[in-house]
Amino acid sequence: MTELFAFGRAASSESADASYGLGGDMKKTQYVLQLLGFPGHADTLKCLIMAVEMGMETDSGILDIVEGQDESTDYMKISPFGMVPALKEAEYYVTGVSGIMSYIEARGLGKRLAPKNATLLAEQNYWSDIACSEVGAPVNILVQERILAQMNDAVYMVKTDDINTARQALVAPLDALDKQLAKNTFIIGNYSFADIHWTAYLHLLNEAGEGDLISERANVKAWFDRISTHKSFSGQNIVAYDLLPKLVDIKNKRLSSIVIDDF
Amino acid sequence: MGLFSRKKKPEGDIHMRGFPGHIDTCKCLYLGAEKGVKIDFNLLDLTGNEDKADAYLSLSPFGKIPCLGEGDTVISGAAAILPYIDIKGAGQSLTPRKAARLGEQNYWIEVGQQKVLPHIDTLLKEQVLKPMEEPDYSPDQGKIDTALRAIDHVFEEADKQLQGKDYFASDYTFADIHWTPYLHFCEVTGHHDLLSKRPNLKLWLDRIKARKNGTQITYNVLPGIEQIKNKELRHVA
Repeated sequence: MTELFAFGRAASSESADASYGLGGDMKKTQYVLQLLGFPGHADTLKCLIMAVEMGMETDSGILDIVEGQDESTDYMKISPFGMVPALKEAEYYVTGVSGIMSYIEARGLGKRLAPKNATLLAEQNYWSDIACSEVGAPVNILVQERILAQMNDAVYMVKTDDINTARQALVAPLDALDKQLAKNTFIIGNYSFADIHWTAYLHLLNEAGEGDLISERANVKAWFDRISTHKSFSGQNIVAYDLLPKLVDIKNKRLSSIVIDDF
Repeated sequence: MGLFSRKKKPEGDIHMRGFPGHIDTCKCLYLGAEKGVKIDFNLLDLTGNEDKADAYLSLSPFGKIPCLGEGDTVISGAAAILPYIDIKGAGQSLTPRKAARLGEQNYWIEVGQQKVLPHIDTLLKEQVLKPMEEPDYSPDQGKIDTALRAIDHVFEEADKQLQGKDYFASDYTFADIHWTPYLHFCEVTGHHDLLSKRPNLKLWLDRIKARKNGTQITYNVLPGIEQIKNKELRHVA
């Protein structure tokens, strides 16, 4: 369908056969996903974290959104509305963070991440919604101003007013999160989708040099410290946070792949 | 009463504050009808900015609409309310079990929320809500035309998706719950042409309009233009 997914183990038909079995019957432990995204893009990081949490081997490829590759004709064949990231498994494609996260969660090892209790499920979705609607846009502005804009223009003049406005917009949701975390180890008690959404945004905030917004809130800081050592939800000896791109990785457009070796 | 209080098991009637010309309110209303969940509605008058009043913000700190209460539990925003109603309601969950279907469902929900909802909202505001607030208001035709072009582009893809399928992810799922008010409000605002040139989407809407819970046509719970103007919401019984 497109050359954009010509990377990783699945790009070699020989290794793909080895992964998926000659008869086409697939075992969960044999799956290798292909994730096409960008290291400075929050939704890409959410999908990467989800894959680690669910113990899904994933090869990552770069979709260079700084160069507008997400608007290319080739990418539009996969994602007609330009939604990023994109995921491929064998012949199945899905794009956009909602579709990908839920797909990986359902395909993953072990128990499901989404709570079954109605109130907890609502609480998870409420905090995920707050992250996306109240935190996503200001974090994107800070990442754009502090990191991405300077990647294309070495003498880029940072828009201080935009940065201050974005920081101010984060005060209310971060204060609310701090209050919520006063009583919980994770956002709704147990680890859930909500933690994944907030981890991606707060990690990028940190890499953009705005970590004071985290450290000045004791409960958010303690939660962030827990997240940075949180082992895979499905029981593998791997920490999602260790695979998230640092500032240098974002600038060099590098995204980690996920290798699971303790099934 | 607080957000997601766990002091008491939720009990008693479910009540919801929302507005008939508000898309997410209608998603919750429609799902309630589909799942047979009894919901008493109280008006949150968006034309009077009640959603920005302290009384409402004490229930929904970020102003998410609608807001649902059951016993000590208060939930705001469609993202949280819809799965709550789904679990509380009768029958199987609308969430597909198969990963591919789940991915497909959520893809079409996200497409709807990002690429359709803001434009339907523009149509509602320009053609219905602002004239309710200001009787002399002249709708901004430029904004309406931009919204219609954007909706038309997405409907073209949605029409392809529905080729050979009864519903967005084959089975009836949350994707259909999200898309029902979008198409309903296209018709309410008089833009039937958006549908008439998309045969699969039109057939899908016909199927949706024929769905029943018991003897009740569930689609009928959605407010028409007169109900919106009169700020009336139907209780789901």
